[in-house]
Amino acid sequence: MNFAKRAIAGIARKQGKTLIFLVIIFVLGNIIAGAVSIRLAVTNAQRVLSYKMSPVASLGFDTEKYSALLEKNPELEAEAVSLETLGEIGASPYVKYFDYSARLVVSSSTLTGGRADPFFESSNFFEFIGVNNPELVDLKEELIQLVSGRVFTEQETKDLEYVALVPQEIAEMNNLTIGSVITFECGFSYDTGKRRPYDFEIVGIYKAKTMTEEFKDGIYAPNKVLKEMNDLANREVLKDPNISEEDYQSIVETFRIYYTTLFILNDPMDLEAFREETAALVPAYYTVTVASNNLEKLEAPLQSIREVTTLVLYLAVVAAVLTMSLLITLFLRDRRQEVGIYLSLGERKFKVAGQILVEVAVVALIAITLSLFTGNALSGVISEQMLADQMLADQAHESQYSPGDYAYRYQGATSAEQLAEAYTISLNMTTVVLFYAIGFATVCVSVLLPIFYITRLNPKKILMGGEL
Amino acid sequence: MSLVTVSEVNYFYADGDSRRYILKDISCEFERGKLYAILGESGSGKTTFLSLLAALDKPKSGKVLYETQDISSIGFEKFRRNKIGIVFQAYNLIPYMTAAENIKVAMSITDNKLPKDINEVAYNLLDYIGLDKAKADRTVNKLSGGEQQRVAIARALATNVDVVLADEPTGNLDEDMENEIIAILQKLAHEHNKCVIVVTHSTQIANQADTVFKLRKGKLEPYER
Ligand SMILES: Nc1ncnc2c1ncn2[C@@H]1O[C@H](COP(=O)(O)OP(=O)(O)OP(=O)(O)O)[C@@H](O)[C@H]1O
Ligand SMILES: [Mg+2]
Repeated sequence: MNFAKRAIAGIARKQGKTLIFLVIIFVLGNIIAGAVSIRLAVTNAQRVLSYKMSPVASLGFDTEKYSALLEKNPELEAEAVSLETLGEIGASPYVKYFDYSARLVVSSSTLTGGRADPFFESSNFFEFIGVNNPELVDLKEELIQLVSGRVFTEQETKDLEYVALVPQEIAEMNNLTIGSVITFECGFSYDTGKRRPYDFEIVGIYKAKTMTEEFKDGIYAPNKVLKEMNDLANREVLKDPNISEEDYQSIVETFRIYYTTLFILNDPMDLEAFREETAALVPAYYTVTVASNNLEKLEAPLQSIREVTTLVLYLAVVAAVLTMSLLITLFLRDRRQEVGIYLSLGERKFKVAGQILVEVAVVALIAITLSLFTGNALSGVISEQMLADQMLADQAHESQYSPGDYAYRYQGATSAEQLAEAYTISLNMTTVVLFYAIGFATVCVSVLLPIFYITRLNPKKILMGGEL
Repeated sequence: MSLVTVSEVNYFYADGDSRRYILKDISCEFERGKLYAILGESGSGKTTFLSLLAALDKPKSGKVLYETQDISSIGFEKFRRNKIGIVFQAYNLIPYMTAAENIKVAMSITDNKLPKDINEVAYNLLDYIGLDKAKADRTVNKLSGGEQQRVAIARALATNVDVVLADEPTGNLDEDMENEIIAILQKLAHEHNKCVIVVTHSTQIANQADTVFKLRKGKLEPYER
């Protein structure tokens, strides 16, 4: 009956005590296991996301700044940024991808699957997303994925070619394949008295991956084509004799095509430098905005989960140490007599301490192993819920971009999917090792106080004092 | 030749600022093969004296020698582990273990050379002292007082020590049982050549002992029957 065997006898024969320990360590172990695996999942997700995502910037007209400047100088006229200047900014070494995009809403009398417009109940609208970069930044950044066909060619974006990439749903709904020709109507032909039709050849079919919900049905086409369609529609208005030159100007102004910009930077650290560089090229009332870009947006919920679980982890460890120290000391008080006997038999104090440690550690090993699995499973459920709540709360106070901006597409709700993909709770080696390490460190710290208590025990007092 | 020698031992308990001397300049010798009884009235300091012999406490001055060595230089823990066995009035067995296990606990603690099969030794020892196999495998809190005290004596012997110290070993037992325990202690001294020192106020034990001392007013005096 050496100290280890005595410990096992203590565990097996003092079942009430063993059960209490088992339950307490199991419960606390679940919390610790949960916190550990959540923290690791968060770390993992942060790494995956930061690797995957680059910051999204865009150049925007800053109305506040403009009115401030206007107060000082009433003569100030708002200038547009020329496409050449945009190209110059886009060529910056800080920029990974650059594009600018026109938007045009058209209707179709032959296609199904368009959006309904609340003003024209029967209408069937489609939204064009203009591109200048034939390779499609959306594709590069994995907002979409090509299902079949190809992207545009350099030629197609330079010349006036009526080519389009359509979403898979629309293609399926209308039995479209690569090479199919689809027809949209835009503007009004004064000569025919009908809407003016445009035929587009489908060169590619895509599927939205991680894009803002409202834009999953956009049709990609070269900016040039969209501008042409818009200009034609505007010019057509002139043919109406009832419209004055003044009205015409206001119509053209209202229905003018304009571009929003998108700069994907190489590195979030480059942002300030990029801002400065851009400021030198554009009027003062233009600013580079980096709205809550994907990474930042996803970081926030991850970070808050990380903070909560860190707190929980510390609290659980402290609670475990306190409860266990107290319990072991209490149980030891009950067993003063036994400890006194060992000491009177000349047992070394460290072996008595060893017996206590083994008694606790064996029970802890069982409880910790059990809680490793349950805690992991539990934390999966809880943290995914936390994540979802957090993302919702986050979306409530979103976005510096208006839906018309190209960059808006990059802060879509679909990033939640990206996060969910990156965020997985799993029982990997690190979790297991870390958890056992924390568990056993906790057990060791918990037996310190009781062991101190043992070293203070005097066998003479226990065995000969008092009752004798 | 003396096995345990007590040399000019003093012991006091602090009573506030003053000292209450319980043992004053006590010197005596104990030999192998003899049963000693130390008598004394309640409160005379018998237990205190035994605790010094048992290395559970140290004298305020003076020495306790084992053979020729001061027990404090042997180390109290080591001395208890390897040189002595103690029997208490309250038995002091580990309640949730069996009789045999209680004995094996002591055997696993000592550094003394023991036979290989400690299991067999434990059962033989218990048998020798009057507990059969069935009782040896019972948890000790299901044994009678006399049986528990036998287990305690067996435990004191199991580690192959030369000195057995007992504090009122029969204090909780009836007369028949007392006689049986005394017979065992006698056998230990006379047949097994142990030095057995019993602290008691039982005159029954004193009558059977080879040498009797009386503790009175802090002095240990030879006792004439
Ligand atoms: N820890 C202590 N502190 C102070 N006084 C003590 C302590 N232990 C014992 N005493 C006192 O010392 C004296 C001797 O005590 P001891 O226990 O040695 O007597 P005893 O002869 O064994 O008595 P009994 O026959 O009742 O067991 C008693 O007066 C007791 O009250
Ligand atoms: Mg006493």
